[in-house]
Amino acid sequence: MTAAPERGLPLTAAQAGVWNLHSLDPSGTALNLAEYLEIHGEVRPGLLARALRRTADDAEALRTRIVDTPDGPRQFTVPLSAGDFPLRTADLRGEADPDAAALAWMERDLDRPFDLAAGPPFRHALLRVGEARWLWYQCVHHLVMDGFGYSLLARRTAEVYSALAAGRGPGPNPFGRLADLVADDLAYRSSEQYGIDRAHWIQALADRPAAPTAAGRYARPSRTSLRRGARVPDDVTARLRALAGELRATWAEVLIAAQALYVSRVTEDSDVVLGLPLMCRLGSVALRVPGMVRNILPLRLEVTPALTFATLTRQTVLGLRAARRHQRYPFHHLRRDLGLGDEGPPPVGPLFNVMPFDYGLSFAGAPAVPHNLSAGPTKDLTVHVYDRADGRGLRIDHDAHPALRTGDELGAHQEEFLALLTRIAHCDPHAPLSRLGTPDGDGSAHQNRDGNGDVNGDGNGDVNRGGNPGDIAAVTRIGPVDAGARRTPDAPALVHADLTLTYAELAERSHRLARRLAARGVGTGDLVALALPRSVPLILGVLAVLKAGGACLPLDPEYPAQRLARLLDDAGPVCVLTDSATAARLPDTAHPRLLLDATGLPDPPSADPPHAFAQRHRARVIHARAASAASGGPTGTVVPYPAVARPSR
Amino acid sequence: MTLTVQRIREDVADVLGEDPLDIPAADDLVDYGLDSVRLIDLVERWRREHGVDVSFVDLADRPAIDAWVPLLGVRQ
Repeated sequence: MTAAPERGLPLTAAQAGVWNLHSLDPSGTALNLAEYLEIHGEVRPGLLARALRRTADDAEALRTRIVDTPDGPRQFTVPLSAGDFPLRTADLRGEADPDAAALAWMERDLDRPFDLAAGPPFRHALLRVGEARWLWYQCVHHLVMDGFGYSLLARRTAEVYSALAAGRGPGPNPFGRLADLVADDLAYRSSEQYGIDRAHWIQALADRPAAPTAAGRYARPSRTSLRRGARVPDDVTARLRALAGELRATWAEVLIAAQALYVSRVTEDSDVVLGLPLMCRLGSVALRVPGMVRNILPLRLEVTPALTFATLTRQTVLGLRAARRHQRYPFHHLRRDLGLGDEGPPPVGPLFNVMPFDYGLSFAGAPAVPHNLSAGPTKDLTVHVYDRADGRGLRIDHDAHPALRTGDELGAHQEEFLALLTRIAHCDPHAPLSRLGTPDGDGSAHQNRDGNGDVNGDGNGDVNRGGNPGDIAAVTRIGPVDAGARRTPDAPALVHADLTLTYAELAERSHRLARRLAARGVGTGDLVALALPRSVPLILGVLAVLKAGGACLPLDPEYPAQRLARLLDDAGPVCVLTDSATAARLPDTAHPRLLLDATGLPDPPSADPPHAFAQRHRARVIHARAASAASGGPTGTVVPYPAVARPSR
Repeated sequence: MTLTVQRIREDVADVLGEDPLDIPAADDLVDYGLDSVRLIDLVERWRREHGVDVSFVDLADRPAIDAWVPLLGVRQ
């Protein structure tokens, strides 16, 4: 048995994870969850109050007080006081815009912290916004509730209300006991399975403990005040469901595969680790307990352009299946195992939360439509997908950490993701992913606009983060620079020693150099050798070659001359881009040289269609890398476009 | 059309993308890839095609064909 009632119960592992987050949140409101149900029809406030009270009496989690003790936090289930039940009612019909007034009221309420030691950890409101339209708002602290638990509470409330309205009793308490949940959790943590699960996850992630985030940064939990909501159009939703059927996957898995593709493009990394919040209740005592159970599972996928959407989806299905076999291992234990702690970088990239539950609730015949207001904090970017089974398209909310993003950036992420879903819906799933295309334009809407803010402050970074990991359309290296040049021309793009180049300067210089290369005959797919110091000149050179449509062959001038000569002979570049100091160390070959620091050369006229270069060779092979073979001779490795960014960073 | 044990097995295998012969009646279907989205799919399918009124929570309690047969009102 678990502890005696007077000592209370320990927290479950899932609760302990929330407790850790909560203790990092100075506002105390980041873990406030809230939804409201829009009820169409007549609502009797007195009856709803009775139904809510009854549901709270049934659900122990709503009657817990959580107290920090010398032995760690403990939870005590107590009866609700007879008097003040936390329910506010208001008639907003007199307001100019009752719905807006209701939403503003709910937003303000969400910013009020709970006193968890005093309890109760929930609040309700019933707001009348029309003759036959009411909003029932419920805010609960994440420490005691998760999304599925929330749906159990809403269902029970509707059931009790409908019974009372019909003059019937509410029936027996359908919920399981909190003590059983705690006992089950303790049993798991001392089981052999716990050790097996731990080993599985450490092995899966040990070589990559921190995943790149979409923002390139992360921050402490904060209330998710930044959200963009949208509907996937009905026809796209229908097509995605049909595609899922063809691929023997679920619609959720198709969306997860789409998110993996999206994240790999944003981070320019084929190694994607998504974070998937899962309910973890099938076949468990937790199934009937409204409480905090859900776990976050890492899903690691390899997203290369040669894959097809069908194979990526298959990889997703099998990856999820394997992950579910180890789904109980607590996410914050994994963070600890990987040496990341509670404050370190997350081991997973953006979270992708699928909520398939159709409430389909009715309050004595009045149908209710759920709307989520707050689904918990995000360290970076979280996507929530709701299938409300209302015959309409999927609902998608993009949440972002308010310190890491602007609303415009968040909106751009959502638009790009929806555009990608539309392309997937109409794609040939057996064609390479590279054919799934990238958005038109240059991705200028998707740059990080907040400059160099590193919230957790490692404080270094020669290359301004403003142009890189947060980009969506950045399948080329050129887009971010040129977009940055247009939007923040004076922001520093490259900083090295005492030399600083702004975006405008970097774009302008690389453009000029690209035209010089073009004048030398460098065109699409042509190879240019680069022998330049590993600092600003090399970056400038690479950008210029890419803009000219060429491919780069980086040469290390430290190599023996004989070896460099062989490399150049094998590869046969159109020219060698170098500077006068480095050129002196290069072997004497017949390849034409273009000196970066040469003066007195007339520049080609700069009639400047800014994207004639950038658009030309998207997704072509642009990078040839010299690697030493076993024989000691160099071999060229052709690296396709999207794979280029990471290794040389 | 009445729901039979064989039909349950075929529908389960269909949502899991497996062969019906590979789904043992007594095993936990989570190990074979059952998740909440697939379970909701089954609940809706059986409601639509066979008029069976069974809830997600009922089936999720013990996700195995053996356990579902009585809940789905199938006589063996």
